Amino acid sequence: MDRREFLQTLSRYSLAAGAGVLLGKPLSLYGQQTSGPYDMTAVMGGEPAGMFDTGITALGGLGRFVKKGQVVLIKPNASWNVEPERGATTTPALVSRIVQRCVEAGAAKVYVVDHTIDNWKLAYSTTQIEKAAKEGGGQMLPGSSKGYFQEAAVPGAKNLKSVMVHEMVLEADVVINVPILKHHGSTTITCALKNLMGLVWDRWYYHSNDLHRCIAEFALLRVPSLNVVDAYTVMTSGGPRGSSHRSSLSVKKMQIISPDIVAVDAAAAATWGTDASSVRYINIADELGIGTKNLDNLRIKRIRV
Amino acid sequence: MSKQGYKAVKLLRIAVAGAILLLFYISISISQPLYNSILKNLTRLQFFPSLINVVFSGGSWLAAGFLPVTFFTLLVGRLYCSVLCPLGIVQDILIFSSGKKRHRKYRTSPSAARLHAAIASISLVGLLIGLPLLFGLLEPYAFWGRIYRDLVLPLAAGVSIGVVEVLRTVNIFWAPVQFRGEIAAVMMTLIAAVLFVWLTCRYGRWYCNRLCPTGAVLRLLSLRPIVRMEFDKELCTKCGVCAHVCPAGCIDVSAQRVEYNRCIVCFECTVHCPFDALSFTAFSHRKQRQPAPFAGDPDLGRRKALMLAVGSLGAAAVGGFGFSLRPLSAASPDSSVQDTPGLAVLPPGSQSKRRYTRRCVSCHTCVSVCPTHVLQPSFFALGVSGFLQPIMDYKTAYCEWECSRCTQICPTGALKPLSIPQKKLVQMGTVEFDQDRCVVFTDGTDCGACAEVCPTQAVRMVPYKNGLTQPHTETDICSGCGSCEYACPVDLPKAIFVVAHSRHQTRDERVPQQTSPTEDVPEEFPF
Repeated sequence: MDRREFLQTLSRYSLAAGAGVLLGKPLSLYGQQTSGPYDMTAVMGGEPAGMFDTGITALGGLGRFVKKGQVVLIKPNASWNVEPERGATTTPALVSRIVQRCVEAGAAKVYVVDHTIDNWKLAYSTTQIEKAAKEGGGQMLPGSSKGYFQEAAVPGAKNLKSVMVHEMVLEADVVINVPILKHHGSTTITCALKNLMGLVWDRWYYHSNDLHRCIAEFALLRVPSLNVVDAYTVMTSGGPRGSSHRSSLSVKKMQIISPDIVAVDAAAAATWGTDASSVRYINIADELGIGTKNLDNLRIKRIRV
Repeated sequence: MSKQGYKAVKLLRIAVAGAILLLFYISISISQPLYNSILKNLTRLQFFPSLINVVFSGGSWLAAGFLPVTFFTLLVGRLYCSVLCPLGIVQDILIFSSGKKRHRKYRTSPSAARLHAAIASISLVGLLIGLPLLFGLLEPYAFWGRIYRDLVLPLAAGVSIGVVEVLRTVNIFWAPVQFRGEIAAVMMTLIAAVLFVWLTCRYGRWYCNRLCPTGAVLRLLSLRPIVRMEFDKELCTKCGVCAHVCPAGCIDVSAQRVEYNRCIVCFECTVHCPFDALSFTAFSHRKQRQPAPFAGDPDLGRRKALMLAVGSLGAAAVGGFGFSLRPLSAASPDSSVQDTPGLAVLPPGSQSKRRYTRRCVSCHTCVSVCPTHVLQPSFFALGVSGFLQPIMDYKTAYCEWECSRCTQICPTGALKPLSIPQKKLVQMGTVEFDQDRCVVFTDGTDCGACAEVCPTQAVRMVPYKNGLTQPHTETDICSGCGSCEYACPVDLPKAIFVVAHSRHQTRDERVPQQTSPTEDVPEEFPF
């Protein structure tokens, strides 16, 4: 898909989505067929890389999401210049394994990117995400160079009408979201929807224009094809950065995988110890029809390893 | 030594100088531990920065590169100026390229010892009394450092954007060189550099023998070097080739003598003399110790030089005494411990405004290596004495928590070297929160940008109302890193900001709540 073709597709979908929202019948936009055996898999008790293999197999295999010759963009949380043990960033072994499986599934290119909050070079190296991406056979993209960001209209958005987004979000065939579940001082938890904030240039805009709504509305631009929630080491307080004296980590050895970004956030909220309804951006995303926070309607495969 | 020998020595000089300059550029451009240590060792050999570091800032004697420089200058003259000084090497490159194109010939220039001594004295006295403004502008390493950060870096940033654009068409994704800074600093250095380039291309090593404070000191040290350029008056035909090729203009052909104290030991004369009348040799003929006066200009003889030196040092001593500088006591008590409203935040390791502004020569090395570009050159934010000295600019960046590069690299010790754990204990200022401007209160929506980035939790979110959270500050554990100020999404003035200490404090550290993660694998799936 070249850029022009993409933009045409985007504008068609934008119109469709806009119309859909206006008509009150939100559409499921990007490849969210529910043809697979399950809507979500949750794995517990193993190591992050192994749990991904178990979980994705139960979900119908990665081939359901990544086709031969496609360009894949992986968005981990690599935002902080802290070691992976601190539970602030995605487990590097998990990122590495996902990249590797994408390559094995025949992806033409696998890119990994995060517009980090701390200095990107330091964060990429300290979190070991850059090393993990390379080991898996992928390529780390610079996340903090404005030249790689493009303005894009967000169809159906009220606050985030347009956003400077990393160009690979618009160009990649498949986006895989790999957040880590954590406490967040202002949004209670940060997980899948919040992780996408690392694909935009202007974080300040979010914060000064109703943070929760902007977080939810970004998914109207592009919903990841797959979300893999790293809930192995969960920060239960002092998040999202964590500090030595006021954050606590809890080893839950869990992973949640689903194409439904709202559902994984709802499941993550329950895992963290709160109700999805108490997290405003999950509610907004649910109302916008980006996904469902009601896990009762989903076919969930729960696996203990 | 034969002609071939001099050619070889000249090539060696060029090779060493080229390698040193290349190392300077590479090590200042690549901010990694290995390159940082190369840069650090290179700056240790810079005469005045190392002198200030060891004598004024109480730096380690490992940094005392000025001692070997002094020794070698007494021995062989100002070799420093042609192989160690980056500004000198840059001049040689300019001279080489301009000479090739226009067949420029240099002329014997007057000694200008009085002018040079006067300028050097004024700048040195300024340094001693705590006004390093003129000294900082003229000191060659500082000048080179500013050229790098204000001209080379933005140029590289511009070029790299083009390179990145080309590479991305073939699916190679690189990040362009980052540059952030106010145009004023760039313009100032640009004007100075244009003038400098013009002077150098036209008059050769003019800067080194008129304006350079290091040059002035090395002139005194090289009045009678043990090994030096000498004429063989028998062989010399006074053809004048040597004077035409001498970039320092220090050869008087009619008197058949070289003014050693201006000679930068470049070996051009020895290489170009058609009659091999010039040689670099240990002088031994006692009879010829009083050379003829230098034509047309009062010669910088030993007596005069000593008088100039004594005069300068005397003035400096009086000045220094008058302003009661206590250079060796690093933490000399400040008269102004109170925080001055609106004071710029001082970089880590600066300790106090007074200590910092007296030792910083504005070489901007810290600015160049700062990973977040929070260090920016100031103008008069620190007063006249702090002209061009770097300050923390929290409007465009924040101080990276896991970093103390600026303190490690500072050539003069104006920033005292700190390990990362030591730097984490420094309190550069404290956080102040203005509730009336905060998004949570003005818009009634969640924000928390400040608390999110705070590395110490000196800002954290506590319950407010309607499920919202509001920032809560604890100044005793605040490091003043500016993360909150930078992250605050409110238009200026920000709702949360750092109030600078004019004298750095030590912040409190809280005892860790948890040493290792708790094992908490759920019995059942929680959903």
